[in-house]
Amino acid sequence: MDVITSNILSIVTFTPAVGALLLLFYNRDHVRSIRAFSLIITILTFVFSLHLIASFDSRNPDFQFAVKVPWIPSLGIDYSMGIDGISVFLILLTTLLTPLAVLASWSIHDRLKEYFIFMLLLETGMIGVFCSLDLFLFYVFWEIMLVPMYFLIGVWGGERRIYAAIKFVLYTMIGSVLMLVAIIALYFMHGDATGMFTFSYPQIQSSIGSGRMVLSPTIELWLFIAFFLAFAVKVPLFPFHTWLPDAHVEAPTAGSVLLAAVLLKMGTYGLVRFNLPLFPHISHLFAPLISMLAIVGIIYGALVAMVQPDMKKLVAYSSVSHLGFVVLGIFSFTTQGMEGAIYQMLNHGVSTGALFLLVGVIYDRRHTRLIEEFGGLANSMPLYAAFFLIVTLSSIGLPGLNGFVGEFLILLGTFSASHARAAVAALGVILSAVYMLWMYQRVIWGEIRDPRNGSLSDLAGRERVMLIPLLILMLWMGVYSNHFLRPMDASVAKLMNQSQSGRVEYAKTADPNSSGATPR
Amino acid sequence: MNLATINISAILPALVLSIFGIAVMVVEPFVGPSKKSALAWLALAGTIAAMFALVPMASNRGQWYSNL
Repeated sequence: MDVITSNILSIVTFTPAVGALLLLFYNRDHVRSIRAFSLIITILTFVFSLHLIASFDSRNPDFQFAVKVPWIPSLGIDYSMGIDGISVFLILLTTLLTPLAVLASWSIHDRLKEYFIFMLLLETGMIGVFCSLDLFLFYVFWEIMLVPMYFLIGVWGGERRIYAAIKFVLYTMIGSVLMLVAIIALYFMHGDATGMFTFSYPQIQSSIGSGRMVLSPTIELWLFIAFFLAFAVKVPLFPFHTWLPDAHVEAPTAGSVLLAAVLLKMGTYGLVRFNLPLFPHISHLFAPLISMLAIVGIIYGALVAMVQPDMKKLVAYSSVSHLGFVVLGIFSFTTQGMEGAIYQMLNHGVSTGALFLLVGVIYDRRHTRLIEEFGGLANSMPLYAAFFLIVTLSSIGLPGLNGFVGEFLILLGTFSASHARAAVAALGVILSAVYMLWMYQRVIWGEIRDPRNGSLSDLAGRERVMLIPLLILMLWMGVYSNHFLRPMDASVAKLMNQSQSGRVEYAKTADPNSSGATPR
Repeated sequence: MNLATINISAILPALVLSIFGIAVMVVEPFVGPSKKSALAWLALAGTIAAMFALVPMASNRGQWYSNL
């Protein structure tokens, strides 16, 4: 393995941080060069991340490009990174969307240098979360990411930005504190059970899977809850979702894009990466309850989205609904459901990212996001109307576009686990068509009622550049889904196996005569 | 390891704050805009409860996290 390949994860993770450091030396009056430099750094990060998928071995279910260097050896903390088929596309999603978010930030003029420094630091935090294989390192990246997002919302946000920023940080931290307690508990329990005090995720997972480290049912329950709450707030799963609409509405366009497209995925990624393999028995036990919350989120998010007068708030509530599908797929404990959930994470990132970019385009022109302020935009902005239509159809889940594949797989997986759950969740698909098409109709079709809408200019070159890659992805993921699903196959199979074997070990411990096949 | 071997008092303040925080989060969607201020009282109650949770720590200094 050459030097670049063996260090590629560190390069991808820390290139934006190095860019942020270099930006410190820029003269704040050189607005164009600050923008150009930030864009170049994020594009460079994207190019580096392409090496990940180009060299990725899709038949290998283990962590690849792994790097492990002792960080604080006395405490068993390592700088340990690696990716598998589950995280590789989430990293690519992050590195693709950040340059697009930079392009969407051309309307920012106030404290531009600091704005881009925070955005680059945010990118490092987001990539770090998806790469970390050490629980301590994961927690560090998880928390680091809050700081730039807090400032992006709190400094460059809307009228109620301080309220939204504080709420975002407090809500996320409430869950994170419990996760930290659970991480420390796992560290000591692993040390007691094996003699090895480590935060290494693969090591702890392997000890649990092999039965070397046995958690009592009560301890497993509490640890599961602690991890679950941290991730449920981030997803956000009903009823932990109230921070999301506030944060989305107040955040600048780029902040909303990254929040919806990447930050929310950390919650679902955490459930997949940590809850299922580390606490397989309780995960299975709680699956009906969590699925119920996911279904409530799907229906509730869709119904509330339907009555929103603000486009950003509508898209925010649609995220509650869409992420409910992802959680439903994860806790269906079927290969289709799991692959569908991971696919839907990517779909939501692409579609909702594009929706926020589109809302940002008209907000830059009219300085309002209220649906009633628009109407008839197809007359003045035909290209915008066409792009908006494709994104709307993608979000609804029209066959041929990306959203369909994810939702179909999730419903297929859920159906084999529970017919009733799948039937109720399918209502969410219909409701999403209602609120999205109704918004599209009110904003784009009809006569121009407000003369200010008649003189709006259509998409500029920069805006086309930031939207076209997402439209291509929507089509690509909708038609050639195997290009994305195949690299996940081995890792998802391994995850399902870990989840099942951990359950069997647990059952053996609880009842030596049991085969572990607990009926669902 | 089981619950009996864990020194809960070491993490009690953080736990109390988190539990009240989660309670605020869970209750918020069900509270109308006019009654949102009640959540502030719940948060205040949590902060005071966390303060009281510090008491057991004061009598047992330096024993947390295996003397970490």
